[in-house]
Amino acid sequence: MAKKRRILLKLLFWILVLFVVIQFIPAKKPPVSEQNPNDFIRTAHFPDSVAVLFKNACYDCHSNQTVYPWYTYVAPVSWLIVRDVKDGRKHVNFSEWNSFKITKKLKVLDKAADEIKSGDMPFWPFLIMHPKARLTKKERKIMVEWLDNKGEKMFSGE
Amino acid sequence: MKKNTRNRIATFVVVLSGALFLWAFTLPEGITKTEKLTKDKKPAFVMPENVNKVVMNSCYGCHNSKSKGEKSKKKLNFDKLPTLHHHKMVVKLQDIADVVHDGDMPPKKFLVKHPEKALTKSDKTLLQKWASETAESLMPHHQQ
Ligand code: HEC
Ligand code: HEC
Repeated sequence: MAKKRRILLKLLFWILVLFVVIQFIPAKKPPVSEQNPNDFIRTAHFPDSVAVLFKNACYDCHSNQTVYPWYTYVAPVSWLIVRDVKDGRKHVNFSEWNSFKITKKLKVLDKAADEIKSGDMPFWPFLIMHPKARLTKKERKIMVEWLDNKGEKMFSGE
Repeated sequence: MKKNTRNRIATFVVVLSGALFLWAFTLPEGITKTEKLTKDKKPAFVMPENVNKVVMNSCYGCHNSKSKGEKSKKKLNFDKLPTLHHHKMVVKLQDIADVVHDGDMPPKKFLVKHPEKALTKSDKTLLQKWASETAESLMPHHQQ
């Protein structure tokens, strides 16, 4: 019995050491910028009630205004966050919205609606720590309707 | 060779050539796959032969109506592309331009086994330019 406990303690000790060591592996977080003149919410004439949904559910990964809570500084979580934010911004960066040409805007609106409809976005691991990003069915519907409507207006040149 | 056999072969060759000759007339001359599928007389867009060749080599295999990959077919189907509403057509064309620009297609995993399907640099430029310009040309304000 005592022997088993000693092994367990040893294991715990080494896990702790590993945990401390990995904290020294740098995870370079994509930078945050609050000055985004081309921002989606700022330039696409959102009603506030819809804007807040996008801000809560999408902006941490798809904008330059990522909020990094304390646990995102702790490896290995930090590595995952860095990957998601980098990948997310690369696919769609809402901070750059107004610099996209119109055909690209139409594509982004269409895909965002698809992702929200299918429930693929927000990306699920994110939801564990972000209860505000858990969208209800009704909220999804509001977002999708807004996106579709915007797309139609943009396409017809209104 | 017996005369009989020779005659039979000759007849066969003549009939076959005749059939091929007639069949050629049923194919609209110089028309690409995309145009053929369009129902209107005036297609929404034209895929030039050189673009068609690139698509056929590198993309069509996974993105057509008979493809086994449900996901790839749902995201983009070259057979259906010409029949979409122009708004959706713009979205798909822009998507093509973007994945080609980012080097995301064909999927890297697939290229390990089929390196000959990779886009060359000039394929990329050609396909991206075509997709992006065609998308723009489909915007209503552009057409007048
Ligand atoms: C935790 C980070 C995270 C959150 C939150 C998030 N996304 Fe994403 N998103 C990603 C990543 C990573 C990708 C990259 C593509 C992939 O892996 O599927 C992506 C891809 C996308 C794409 C592109 C899909 C494609 O096929 O090109 C769209 C559109 C999108 N997200 C929309 C949204 C919307 C709308 C929200 C809010 C409702 C949202 N995302 C929330 C991480 C996130
Ligand atoms: C080996 C099969 C295969 C080939 C070849 C292929 N694709 Fe794909 N494509 C896929 C799959 C699978 C998906 C869905 C990937 C996903 O959503 O993760 C996809 C998705 C796409 C998408 C949608 C991207 C998105 O995330 O919204 C576009 C656009 C696309 N492909 C264009 C192309 C083009 C252009 C080519 C040729 C240069 C090509 N594909 C070649 C399998 C293929």
